[in-house]
Amino acid sequence: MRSRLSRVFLLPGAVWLLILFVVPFGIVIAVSLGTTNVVGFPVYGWHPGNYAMVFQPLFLPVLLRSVLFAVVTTALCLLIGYPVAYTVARFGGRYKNALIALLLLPWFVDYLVRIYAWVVILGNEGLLNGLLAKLGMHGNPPVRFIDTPYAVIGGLVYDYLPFMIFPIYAALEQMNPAVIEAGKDLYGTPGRTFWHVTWPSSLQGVLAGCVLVSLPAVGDFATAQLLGGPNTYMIGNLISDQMVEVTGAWPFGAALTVVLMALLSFAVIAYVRSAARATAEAIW
Amino acid sequence: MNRPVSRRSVLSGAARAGLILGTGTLAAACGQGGTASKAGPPIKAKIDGDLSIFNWAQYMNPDVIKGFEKTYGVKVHQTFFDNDEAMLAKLAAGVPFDFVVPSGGNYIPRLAAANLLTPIPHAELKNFGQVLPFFHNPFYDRGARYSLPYAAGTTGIAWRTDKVGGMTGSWNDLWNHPKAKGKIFLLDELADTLGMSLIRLGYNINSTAPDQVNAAADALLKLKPMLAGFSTNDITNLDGGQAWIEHAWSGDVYVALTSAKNPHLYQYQTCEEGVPTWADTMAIPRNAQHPGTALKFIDYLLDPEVSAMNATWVGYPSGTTAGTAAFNKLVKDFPWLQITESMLDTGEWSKPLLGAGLTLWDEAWTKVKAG
Repeated sequence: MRSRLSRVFLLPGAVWLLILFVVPFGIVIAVSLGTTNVVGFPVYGWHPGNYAMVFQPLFLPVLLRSVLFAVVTTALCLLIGYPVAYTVARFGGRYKNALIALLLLPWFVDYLVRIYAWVVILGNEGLLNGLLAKLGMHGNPPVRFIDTPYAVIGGLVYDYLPFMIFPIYAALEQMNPAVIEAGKDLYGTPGRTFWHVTWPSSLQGVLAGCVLVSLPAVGDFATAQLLGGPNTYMIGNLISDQMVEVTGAWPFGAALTVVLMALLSFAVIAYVRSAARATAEAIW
Repeated sequence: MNRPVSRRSVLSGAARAGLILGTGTLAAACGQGGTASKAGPPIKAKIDGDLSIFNWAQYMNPDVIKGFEKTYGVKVHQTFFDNDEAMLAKLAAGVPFDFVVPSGGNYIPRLAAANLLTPIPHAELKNFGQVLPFFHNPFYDRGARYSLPYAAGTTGIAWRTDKVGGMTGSWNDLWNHPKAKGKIFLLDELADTLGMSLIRLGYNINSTAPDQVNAAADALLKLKPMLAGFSTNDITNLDGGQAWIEHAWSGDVYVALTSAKNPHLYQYQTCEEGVPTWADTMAIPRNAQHPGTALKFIDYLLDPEVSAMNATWVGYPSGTTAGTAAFNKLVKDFPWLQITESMLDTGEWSKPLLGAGLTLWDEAWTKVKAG
């Protein structure tokens, strides 16, 4: 009885996934195997040759660059996000919810608008260069921030940091503070207590955060488009260019998307299996 | 802002797109599908409702729109696109706009081939005589069956005279200024940029010979370390000081000039190897709900006074006698921005890429962007 009811509750979610994920992805796969008509609309067919274009050595550096940017972004998010989550969870007290709400606040502003704000801040004649000039450090020409990998990675960290903070916060929140006390009672130094008690308890949150940050970071294109230059071209830019810049390039763009999703799926599957194992251990 | 098309019509447009995805080719769906796609009787220039127009942002003088609304007692609803592909996709999905501004050389042939446009009966237009002879029979639309000119321009090189000297009137100037390293921009447009590289090497702007296209891509790759980037924000790049030398559209240089503190610091040249020339056009989509009003609107835009008013606001000559004269008067202090009818004839025009040629270009361009 109970399981039948739970299946009913699963239904809306399943329908949602089917309509908004499975069907669109099926269309993407179909487009990736098709050609286009004169206005660039897909004509379905069987043209697996579209995938041959994806596996050219030419695109490998773009893919590697995207993965590298995503890995560095994830590492920086973890480095910044963990202390934030830890501080809020352990010392936030009655302000916890307010602090979490504050972290969410920038997200009320559209993603693109926030990246444009960085363009204004980092531009050649932007706020930061203005400040440097006031401080007497004005180089001539001004310091170039935009067009550098640093600006793109900085932008990605800014975009996705909350995705790291929230799952870690959730994991630390659920942790019983008594186990830390116990660690101290057993003469553990703060460092050893953290390493042997707190860190393992938050590990699932950390993993969830890493997945939530790295996946969208690999596929991001707006950040590299606005804060990057010719040498920060990411796989997301490559796909987006096929959609908006070239009439009739949808099949190639779709093939790139399918291959990228297949690669990312490995990361997700690895994560899901690790999470399942952790849950099983916890129950046991 | 007013909602340009009612929610219902957007939904029906989406449903039509769904149908297209389900049944196969778009052309087939449009050619044999709903009643809207059958070639009806020629349209009449008669007000038949409010007007829904689909245009680039900042590309029509607001006073022109107000004037039309006042003269004919209708409302004009505007929707904007920011690239031609988005425009193409919406029209192909059957969104019922009444008036649209596609670029001529590249997009009118596609839209016409997909049967997405309504023929424009010239006899219905009082001001048809204003249209420059070139646009009576342009290569992209023989007999001007589906399109009339909205704006025309050239693509060339803009530069800062205080930073860069020794420009020679050649596309080589983009390659020959090592001192401007990191201050050179190329347009982020497949047709414009690969086409420019082709004509610089003495090839046809529309070449689909693999060795020529690859040579053009290699030349761009060679220039890449010198570049600040590929960008279509040619106005901002020039204004903001990021660009010393840039591959730019003529009208955008004019817009940058008018907002600059020191306009004399800017200069623009077309290049001796070939002058890429283009025109944006006025057209009426096949699915227009108010083609009569749209035809009236086209006639209104061709009116000498209105055409002049719009050309001087947009910064591009309008393809009409009066609009071109008004524009050339406007830029009399900048003779290098003048556009004459003979330039339209001798210019290099990009044409639509199809099939193997498209794949070749796309691969070459991706190599440039990703390399």
